[in-house]
Amino acid sequence: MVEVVNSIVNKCKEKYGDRFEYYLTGSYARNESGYKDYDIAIYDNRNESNDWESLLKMFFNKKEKDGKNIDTQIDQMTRVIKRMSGQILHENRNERVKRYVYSDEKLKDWKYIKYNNLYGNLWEKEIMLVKPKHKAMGLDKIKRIYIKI
Amino acid sequence: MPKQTYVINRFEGGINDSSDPRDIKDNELSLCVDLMIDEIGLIRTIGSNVGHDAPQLAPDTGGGATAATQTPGSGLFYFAHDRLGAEDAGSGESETGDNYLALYDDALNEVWIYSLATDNWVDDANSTNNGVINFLGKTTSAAARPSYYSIDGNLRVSSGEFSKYTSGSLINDGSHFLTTDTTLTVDNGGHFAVGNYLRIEDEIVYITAKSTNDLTVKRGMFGTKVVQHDNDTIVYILNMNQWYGYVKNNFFQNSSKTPTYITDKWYNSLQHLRSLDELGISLITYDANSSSPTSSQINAVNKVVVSYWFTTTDEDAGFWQGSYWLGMTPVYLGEQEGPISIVGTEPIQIHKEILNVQLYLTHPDLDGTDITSSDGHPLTDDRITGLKLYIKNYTSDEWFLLKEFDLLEGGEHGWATYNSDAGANTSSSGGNTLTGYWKTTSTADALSVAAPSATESFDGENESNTCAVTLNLNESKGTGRKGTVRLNGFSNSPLYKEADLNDTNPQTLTFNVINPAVGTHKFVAELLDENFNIMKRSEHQQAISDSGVTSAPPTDGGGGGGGSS
Repeated sequence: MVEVVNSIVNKCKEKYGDRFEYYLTGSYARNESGYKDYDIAIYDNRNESNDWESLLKMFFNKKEKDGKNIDTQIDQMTRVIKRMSGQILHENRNERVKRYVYSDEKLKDWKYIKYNNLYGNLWEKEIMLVKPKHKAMGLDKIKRIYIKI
Repeated sequence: MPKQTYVINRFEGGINDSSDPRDIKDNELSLCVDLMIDEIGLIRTIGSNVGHDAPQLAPDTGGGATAATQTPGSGLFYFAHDRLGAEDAGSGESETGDNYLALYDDALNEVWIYSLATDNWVDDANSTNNGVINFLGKTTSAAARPSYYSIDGNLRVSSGEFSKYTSGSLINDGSHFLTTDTTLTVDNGGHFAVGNYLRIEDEIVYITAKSTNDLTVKRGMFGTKVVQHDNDTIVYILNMNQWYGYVKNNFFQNSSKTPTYITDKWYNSLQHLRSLDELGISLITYDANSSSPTSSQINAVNKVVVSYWFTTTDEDAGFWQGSYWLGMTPVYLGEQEGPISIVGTEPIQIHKEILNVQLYLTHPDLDGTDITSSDGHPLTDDRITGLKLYIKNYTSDEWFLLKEFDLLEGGEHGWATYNSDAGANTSSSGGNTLTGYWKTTSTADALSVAAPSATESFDGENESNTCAVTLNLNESKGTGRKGTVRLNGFSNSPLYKEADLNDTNPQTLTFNVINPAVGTHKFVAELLDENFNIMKRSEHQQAISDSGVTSAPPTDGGGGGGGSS
């Protein structure tokens, strides 16, 4: 029932009003039985990164009631990807996209992921639209799911 | 979003500006200008009591010879709106803008609108000799001092009348009006009409039906406490703010964006955002674990049916365990959310299953595919554009959002007409058609998993293995619908492939798989809808033998800093 996620999102809405949109995505949203964490995608209607660090910090190191991690990223492509059919997603699967994460440790580039520190603990993460693991699963050919919180 | 209701409905403490605002009591206000706070649950704009002349204004056209008698000091208000036609509550109006003057008629207790563009004020297009806003929502006249304000061009009207007993009547019940009573007998029912909110001491009730002096009421509205009231206690109408504005929406669009019901008109309703209960909507749960509902199980007007069924996995994926209540709220224009109402009469029991839900809305014209204007909005208020479904643990007060339903565009492929009598095993087109979300289960649909092409464990770099899943839908699930088949049980699972939910020909989907370790395994295929709800499940049990290769299959980690797809 993602109680912790709901609780944090509620606090975010109290603080920031309707500025941000919050979505559950990833394996939990796909109803996978073996999901490892809760993926949260956030969209900023103002597209101003000044508050992103403090927003993401509210989710940082938090765990859901079942002990699984809450993985939160700001993704300004969310609205575009939401509209993509499986075919369009497949055509754009290798496009590089930027997401924004919070980390109090230095993040190093890893395989196809590049990190760049924007300020403080806010990191820009550059990654392909569909990563190889998900391509192998066939997720590059089906519509991506976003459940609004 | 957690959903809790905290009711603040008493303000009679008045202004307290001597304390820090953080220290004032719940029924006090730190600032209040031109507002009345004497009614429980209401903050109303106040009228003026400055003396003025009382002109009589006669309509130019329509409405016969009736003239509007103006109460000195109140009743006139200027406002502007992008839409024409406010003077006659028109429909299909242009967006060229107009300036209006609202005039209150003491004789009819109604608000008329003067249009600058047409230099005219006429009667309501739908009735003779009436204004466009039935101000007090009742049938008998009584003096009132309307107060207006306008936001985004939409007009709000409230009463500035201080005397609350002029519209009242007394309880006529020697046995008292008990807490369990729902029929309220009064001396003169002529003062009241269906849809009125009444105040009896500190309780507010809502009239759902009327027979002369017997009023059928809902008790304890707006969070007020249901208590016993003695014979001869005064009952009077609670003056509720009225909302008058333009509504334009295309409801229940299908996959081609063609709407089934359109609103494009001036509309008058209570300003208060009512719950589905208060709107008289029946909220029903339907256990669809064995079959989808039939028309007779859904067939009724003003009804919302939440059909639910469970899916299970070998791993007990769900961690919901126990009794849960479902709740639902209406979403009004401007994303304003109304109060929550309980769905069904009993909580549902969940035992670590995955909960799937499907929504059915009924409308008055049950045999037609279109909801006509005369049918009206299925949820009775044309301002409602969505529904939100919540869930809470039986013992908890905290609601959690489960799902939002957009009454305009619906889900990925819009809304469809649901004909539950055209069953999976027949070609019947008879029976009633009902508008709802997608039908997702059919016992005649077939899903099967074949044995993998190789039945040995991982074969190293030469691994070349496939598994075929065949989907054979007995009936189309809707034009343009795309679903997903998920295959579990292999080393590289879960694997996904798109399926055509409109295609009734057999669809064979071939997955590149890597067998698990030696032993007997279950390979499970699931047909998923657009929301990844499981529509159909099938499994194949297979013994995997030893290939002799000891290396493990390749894996790809998610990388640091998050790995959402």
